Amino acid sequence: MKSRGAFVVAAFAALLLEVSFFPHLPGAPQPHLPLLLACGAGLVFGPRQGARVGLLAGLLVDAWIGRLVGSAALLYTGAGWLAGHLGRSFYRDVPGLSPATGAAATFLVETLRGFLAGLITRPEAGAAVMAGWPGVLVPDTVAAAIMAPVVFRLVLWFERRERAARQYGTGVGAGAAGLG
Amino acid sequence: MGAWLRRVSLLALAALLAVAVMFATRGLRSQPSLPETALHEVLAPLGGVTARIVRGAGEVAETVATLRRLRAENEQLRADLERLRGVEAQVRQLERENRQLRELLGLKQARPDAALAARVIARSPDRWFEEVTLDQGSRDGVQVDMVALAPSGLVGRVVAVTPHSARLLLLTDPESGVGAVIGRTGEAGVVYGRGGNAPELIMTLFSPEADVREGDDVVTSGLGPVYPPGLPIGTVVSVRRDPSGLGLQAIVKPNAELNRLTEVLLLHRQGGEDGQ
Repeated sequence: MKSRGAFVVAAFAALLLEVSFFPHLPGAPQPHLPLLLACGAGLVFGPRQGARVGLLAGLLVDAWIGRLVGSAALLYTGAGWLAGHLGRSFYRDVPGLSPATGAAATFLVETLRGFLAGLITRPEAGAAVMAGWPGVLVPDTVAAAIMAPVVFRLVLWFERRERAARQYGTGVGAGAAGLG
Repeated sequence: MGAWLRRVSLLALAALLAVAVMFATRGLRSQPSLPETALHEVLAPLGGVTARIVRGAGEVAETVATLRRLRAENEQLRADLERLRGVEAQVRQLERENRQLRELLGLKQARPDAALAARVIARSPDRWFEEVTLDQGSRDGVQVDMVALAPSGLVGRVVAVTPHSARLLLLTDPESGVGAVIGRTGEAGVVYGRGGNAPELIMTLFSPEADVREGDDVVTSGLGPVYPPGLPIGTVVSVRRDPSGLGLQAIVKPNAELNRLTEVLLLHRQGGEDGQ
């Protein structure tokens, strides 16, 4: 799987941008690039690859945050896997699938993450936290919808590279089995 | 069935493990784990670089915005400056006209033969014929051969009249001949123009041994039928022999600024029916 290294680099880059680029843009929301990367991988390469990239991106996010470790990994893995099934069904046919997927994934994953955080760390305040959560997430959801096509194109570029490598027999086509 | 059960068991185990880790890491930890430390060690410097780039880009964008604003302000100020320059030029023009009118008024009061003042409204486009058009015509009392004066000296004479305008032949026209004398010595001659936009006049002196010097005043002699005596024409700037070598010529600079005429005073004709 030639794209494995590319996805590792992309996951690191996504985290880097997420933690050091967007916070410095005045008034800019968080587009959750690692999650979008997992969704993009799922849409293009299928559920298994989506889950793998989701696990990697989620683990990186967990390691960076250092609290509630595993929550992002779990949720991103699930998101990548679900996006993979979505992509298998109709990503080539439905226009606007990537922004819709990115926005929905961001909203759902972050809501679940908030729910988990409230449940595990502050059970008594969980309900109050969750009540205001959707309002907080709206800007992030919009940002995700805007950035998702960009990430999606990046993943498509990975796929094209991989396909071209297989086509010209450079001996790196073994990853075809990993496309799910 | 066995494979499915195994898969579900694996997933449940993974979920359980994840929840356990979540519980274990639900609070703040002063000592992060090795992977967390490694990730921070790698990403923190890169994050610093990215942040600096973002801040730098923001500053560049702000600088560009400031430059655009300054450019717009600069253009506005330039436009204002041009407009004010135009206003200033108008004010100067009005001041000049005002001064000339005052001088003309003084001249009119000083000369008993003054008939009327006229404004220059046009100038001959020809390079060789030096004429201007006045805004007064026969209906205003202008007649052919009226002499025109500026406050500083003689300008020329009226050569054609229509009901509402008149053509004035300037001293600098080659057709313009004026009987003149040197003020200091009374040496007589004829002053005429050179045409071609040349600002000087030529005075051909009757006497080849005439006493003429640079700086001498030249005035009208009154010997001809048009010009009264004593009107200032100009100042001698040089003296030379004429092309034949027999006569004497003086180059005379007119007192009146013939290229910048705006108003003139017309005098009654010499000995005319409307004369003094």
